Amino acid sequence: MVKPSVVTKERFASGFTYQDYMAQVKVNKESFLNFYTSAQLSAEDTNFFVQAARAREGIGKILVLGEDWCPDVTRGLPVAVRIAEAAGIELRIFPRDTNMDIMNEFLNRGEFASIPVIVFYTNDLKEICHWIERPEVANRDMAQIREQIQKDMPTASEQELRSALRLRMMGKYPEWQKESVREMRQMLVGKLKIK
Amino acid sequence: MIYTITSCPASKQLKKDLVTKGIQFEEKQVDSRQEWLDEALTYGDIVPMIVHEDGRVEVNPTGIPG
Repeated sequence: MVKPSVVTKERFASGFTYQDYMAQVKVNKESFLNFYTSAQLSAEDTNFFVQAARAREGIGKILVLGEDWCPDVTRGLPVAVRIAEAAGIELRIFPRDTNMDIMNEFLNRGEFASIPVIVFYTNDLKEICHWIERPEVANRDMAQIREQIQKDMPTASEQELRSALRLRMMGKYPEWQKESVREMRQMLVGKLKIK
Repeated sequence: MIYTITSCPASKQLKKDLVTKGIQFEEKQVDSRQEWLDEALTYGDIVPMIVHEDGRVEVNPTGIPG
């Protein structure tokens, strides 16, 4: 028998709205705002998510698990917010560390508490699908950039390498956000009967 | 210096372990101040983290998921 989710209607409603979440973040507020600006949906994306919200058993709610200190969350959360706004979907945000019972339903590879987790639900909270952490291309980019930097700066300290890595990755962030949208669309297409 | 997160079980365990061993440490909770978070990110992505006086970085020695 499948264990019922801890995300009931009441629990979902208790999460932060984006505005309330932003009002209480202690770190990375500027990053969240910058990544909200860069998280743009194309007209085709918007049309897709509107269809996905209108479909039978389509998206009615979006839940995001995250922590404000996590760089992946600062990039991923604004993408979810843009989708919710574009399609008129209710979105709630839950800090991971005080909501581990929710987190345990979405562990990465059944083991890791990776964030953000973006969960797409029907209006009556049946899970459609969920997306975790970052797009696949980001993992590949990070590995390639690190390898290149190690070649370019063979005598650099770990701190110098990390600083160079961050600088070179910055240019990739808008593309990673677009890729996040593409991956979410791909997951939803597989679950909903829409194109 | 240790970098920690307030509600993180591994961070709490690390502090407990250091106290038990009688090791003195200075703590920066990265979720409470932007400059501490930015500083921690220059050393690594995973918290808790110990930055030793000789510059050596030790990431989450507790074994508990951070």
